[in-house]
Amino acid sequence: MDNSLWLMPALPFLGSIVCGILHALTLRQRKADPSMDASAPGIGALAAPVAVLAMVGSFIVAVMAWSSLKGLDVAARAAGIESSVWHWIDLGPFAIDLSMVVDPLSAVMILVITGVGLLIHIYSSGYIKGDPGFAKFFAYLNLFVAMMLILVLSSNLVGLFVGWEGVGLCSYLLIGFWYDKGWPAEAGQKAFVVNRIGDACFLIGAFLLVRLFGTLDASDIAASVITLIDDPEKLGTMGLAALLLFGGACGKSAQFPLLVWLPDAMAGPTPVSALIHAATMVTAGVYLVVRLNPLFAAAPTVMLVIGIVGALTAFIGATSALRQTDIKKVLAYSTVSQLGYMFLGLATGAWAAAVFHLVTHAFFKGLLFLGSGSVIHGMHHEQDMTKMGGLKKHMPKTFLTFLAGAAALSGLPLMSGFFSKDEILFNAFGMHGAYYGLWAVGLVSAMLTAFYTWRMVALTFFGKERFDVDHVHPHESPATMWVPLAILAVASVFGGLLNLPAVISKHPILHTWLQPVTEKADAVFVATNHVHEHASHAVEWGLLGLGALVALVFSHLGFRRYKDAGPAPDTEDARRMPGLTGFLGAAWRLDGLYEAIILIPVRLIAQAISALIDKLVVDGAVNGAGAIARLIGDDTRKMTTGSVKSYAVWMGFGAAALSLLLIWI
Amino acid sequence: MLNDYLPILIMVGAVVGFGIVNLVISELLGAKRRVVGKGQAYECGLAPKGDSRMRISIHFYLVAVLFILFDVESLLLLPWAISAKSLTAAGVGGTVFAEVTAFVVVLGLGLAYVWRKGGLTWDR
Amino acid sequence: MTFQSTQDAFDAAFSTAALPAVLPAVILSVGALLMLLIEIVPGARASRPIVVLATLVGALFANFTQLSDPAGPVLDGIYASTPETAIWGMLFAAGALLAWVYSIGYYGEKARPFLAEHDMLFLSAPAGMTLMVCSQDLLMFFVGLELLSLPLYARAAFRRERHDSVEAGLKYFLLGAFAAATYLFGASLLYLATGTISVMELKMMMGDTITTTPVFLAGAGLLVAGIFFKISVFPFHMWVPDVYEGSPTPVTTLMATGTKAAAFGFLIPISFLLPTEATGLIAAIALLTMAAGNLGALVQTNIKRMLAYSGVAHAGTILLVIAGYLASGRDDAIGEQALHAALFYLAAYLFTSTGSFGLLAMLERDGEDLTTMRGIRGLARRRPAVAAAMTLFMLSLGGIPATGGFFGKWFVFTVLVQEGMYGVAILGALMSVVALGYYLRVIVNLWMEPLDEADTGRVAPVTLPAGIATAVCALGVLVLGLMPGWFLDLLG
Repeated sequence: MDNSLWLMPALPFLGSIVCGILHALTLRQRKADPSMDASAPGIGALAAPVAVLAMVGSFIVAVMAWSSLKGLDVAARAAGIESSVWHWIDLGPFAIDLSMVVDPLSAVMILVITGVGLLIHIYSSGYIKGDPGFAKFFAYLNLFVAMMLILVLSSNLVGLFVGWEGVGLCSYLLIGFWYDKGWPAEAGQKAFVVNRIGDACFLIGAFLLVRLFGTLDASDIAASVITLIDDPEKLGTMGLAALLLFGGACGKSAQFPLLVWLPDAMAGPTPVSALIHAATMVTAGVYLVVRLNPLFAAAPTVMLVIGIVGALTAFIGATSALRQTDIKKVLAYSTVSQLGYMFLGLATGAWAAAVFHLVTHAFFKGLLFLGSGSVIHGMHHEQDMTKMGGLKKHMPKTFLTFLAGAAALSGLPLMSGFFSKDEILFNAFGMHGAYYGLWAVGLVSAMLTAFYTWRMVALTFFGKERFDVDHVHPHESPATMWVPLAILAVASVFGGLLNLPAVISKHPILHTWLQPVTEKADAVFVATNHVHEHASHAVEWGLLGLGALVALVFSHLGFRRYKDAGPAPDTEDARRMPGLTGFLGAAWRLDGLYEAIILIPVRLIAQAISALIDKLVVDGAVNGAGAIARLIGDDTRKMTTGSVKSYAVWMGFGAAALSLLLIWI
Repeated sequence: MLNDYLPILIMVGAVVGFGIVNLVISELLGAKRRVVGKGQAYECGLAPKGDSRMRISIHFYLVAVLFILFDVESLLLLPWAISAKSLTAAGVGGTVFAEVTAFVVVLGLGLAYVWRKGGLTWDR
Repeated sequence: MTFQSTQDAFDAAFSTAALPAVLPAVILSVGALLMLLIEIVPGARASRPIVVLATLVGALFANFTQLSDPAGPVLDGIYASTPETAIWGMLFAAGALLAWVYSIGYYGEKARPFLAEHDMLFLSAPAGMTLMVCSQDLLMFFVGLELLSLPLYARAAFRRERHDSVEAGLKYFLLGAFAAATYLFGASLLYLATGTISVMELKMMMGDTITTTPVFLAGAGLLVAGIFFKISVFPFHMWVPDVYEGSPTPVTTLMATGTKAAAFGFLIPISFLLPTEATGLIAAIALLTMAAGNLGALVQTNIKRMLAYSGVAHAGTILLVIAGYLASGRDDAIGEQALHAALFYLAAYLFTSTGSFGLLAMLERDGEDLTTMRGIRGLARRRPAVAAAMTLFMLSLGGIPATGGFFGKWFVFTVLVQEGMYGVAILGALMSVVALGYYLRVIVNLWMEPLDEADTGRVAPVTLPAGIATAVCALGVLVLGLMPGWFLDLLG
């Protein structure tokens, strides 16, 4: 019973309301004083301190929750610290009780969300300065954090779903933040609708869980899975539920085939991309799977599906990132790819490894996005890398931190990304069978990752300036922006210490910490005879070495090839392999595919229906100017006697058909 | 049970069949001479004039509908009138009479409403 | 039933216990008559709002007393008052009241002399709806249906100077008459097969061989088809967009919410008439209805028309509970659960739909353009409160959690999943994805599109009554979304 947990989402929520009011006041101020510049913040300038303070408060509560959890003994940690319960629905046999729970898993999540979130809030106060919607931006950002915290803290899947939809909504609002540009609003809508496909799966999965377990309490479900695994029928239903929940995770975490929305989501302001589309929201799917890990452990087939989807996504993302010229698009596809790694990790039952990669990814990808934002800011909203180059001397601080992030992403030895990616690949290798293939795909993706990362660094910071030096003067960003970068850079470099591989450290910190959460799945593995023996130390050393070698070689290749690139770095390739370049540039043409197989048919059917009705209406007017229409007068020629007739025919036909079918069956 | 309706079905079949057979035979065997006069409406040997689809005042329909309404509603008094004596014998005559009175009052209200709104005035 | 004497029959039919049960309907009918009386008594017109308010609040209260202490079947078993009917009745009265409040100031000068007749609809309609849900007899339902429908036909054509309104009235009338005939034909076939029109006696006969004869099944089919017209189920839904669009918006509100709710309130309890083999058929009809509604709504630019199609889709969703009930082998417990799911769904829909149609009515006052997707562009900047309320209603229609619409869908799908109809549930859930597309378009236009400068002058001010009504609707949506248990507790 610790009700201060409610404070954690409540503070940003309050902050969001205050910022919203500030925004309204600013609008009023502007209206009252037409001489005021549209970008002048007015009273809205207060929004940044308010929002940041709310985040500081939330972060402190999160740290306190974590330390009091740390104070408990290991057995008590599994249950976690729970706030008081709110009986949302009570229907006798079925009840939904909402409460906030901090267990080892959610403790990791809240520290990442509030910690990285705080840094991004500070960063945003510099980045978004001068935007007419300054206060509104912080209102949305704070609301997002509140929703994300509800997502990870809820004890119940319904509460989780509230947060799940809430972050989706905020993401949608923030992607469309610069709606007057037109297309960001479209991108926001796409994100929301694609996510809803996943949500539909999530909901049905949740219904199945209610049917199986009679509850939606996550820890109750996790604990009861092992009691049902002897019943083949229930096991089958559990597998279906796991698959559907994974479908939901696919939507939120941009996995194949629902990955198309994430690159488009880059239309939003860059801090949003960093917070929502790299560090936190998109990892919600990973969180969901870990939260219900025994359920997935009981369904080996679903695990294999997750592995295939994860590896495929990692590969699609990595290849698509190769030919992007927009710096944010590179990072977006990279995020898709790294999320694929996390799911590959989950598929091998390496829950802690996936969470480890989630954490380090939040550090280095958040850093890279913020760094790219700093570049974009310094270059006056230029995102095209072919128009950059040589920025290292103009923006030294951004450059140094960006290097740290790139090193971690490409998996250079001893960086955080090196250890986390390696642990996932090592686990895939240890699973034998089909997983060897997945491991190989993962390894190839790692090569590509190193390549495109250093291509990006080279194009942006090295070589000659490819912009008009006389007119464009890139400038270093203010302290509010580079200090968060520096903090994240340190975390990206040393994040690996959180969970050193078993060959180096006897007790990997994160692994041990998550033990109370993951042991339930291990018990299921034992009960279903799916225990995997760990590969020997020699193999692990070998794989570590291989990973390091691959990263170094391909980083070098990517860097060398592009460090002196001209204004059109990829034209040679495009000329030699136009098909492949176009294919990768358009991310395997998935958008076109969906357009062809889903959107176009739906639109055609919808248009056909309305055309049919139009035809009935118009034809009716032409054919049947009957007595009734005459009564009303000639002006009502559109009076659709004909269509009334055809409606009646449909009804008569329907009634007759209904009766006949009833008799027939 | 449905067998009871068989004669009706046969009857329906015979009627429809008779019509169809006659039409088909006259179509097949009859002489066809198409002249303008044949296509015109027959009005007792006079040359037809004007449009047969005459516009009738909407008021006509209003009065007709009102007539049917009150006609049908007052029809409901008949069952009461028939059973009034037995109802009285059963000791509930008074109550039923009160109910019928309420019915007539509501009907009267309706009449007053129609009257007041000018529904019964032919020329407005 | 047979009685020893006329006296016995009389006592059974007219015990004083029946009085509280029929009181809501009586209050509403008397109010409706009073409203016509006002019209013909010189100088009484000013008391119009008083009569409306007194009658509807009275009906609300009369229903409320039935909630805790329902009278059960009365009047020789042709009328029943249960907690469910009490809640239906309260919803009807509340819905009529809200729709009426939105009608204040809606009509122009020309319609002023006829406002008493207009207001009479808002009293006779809930009276008819109450009769519909309380009836335990096929004819009694028909009386309620006509009491609701006949004034509605006339009110659809209330804006006589507009062709689309006249067209709407005529279409609704012709097709409604057709549907009524279908219903009556079905009822007479059922009587032919069983010799009764009492719902309770019909229910007792279920399982007899008589209920599998073609006459019975044809009767059941036609009866249900007649009701399907009122709830706008495929292929009986085609009139909906034309009629909803053409009718004056406050009248549309009543059509969209109350009529649908009342028809479902009767249809679900009598759905035992359908054979259990019809599970797939009803599920297919429901899914087709959802598809027709959603796909139709997707291409609309007029929001009123879009909401009409969306209403069709919602009817399809609710119809799914009947499929669930039939799949359970007509289990009474599931039937009750299905009824409660529909009750909750329609309660949420009533508030949501009344609120959104009401806001449209408000926007319509000054210029028709404002009810199109183009017309509401950038409204959030002029009327942030209106835009916020509209957004809430759209989110609820789309079934986003923490709104009533979410739990409505939740309860419906629970029934399906309980009966193992996963495929249907998944298809239904996917339909809601499509649905979100067009609700989102409204939100996007409200908040995101740049303001069309030319339109700014025409946004009508928010009147106090409309503001209160909107607040009540929004509150209803939120209360149902945040405390659904409270509503279900009312049912016991």
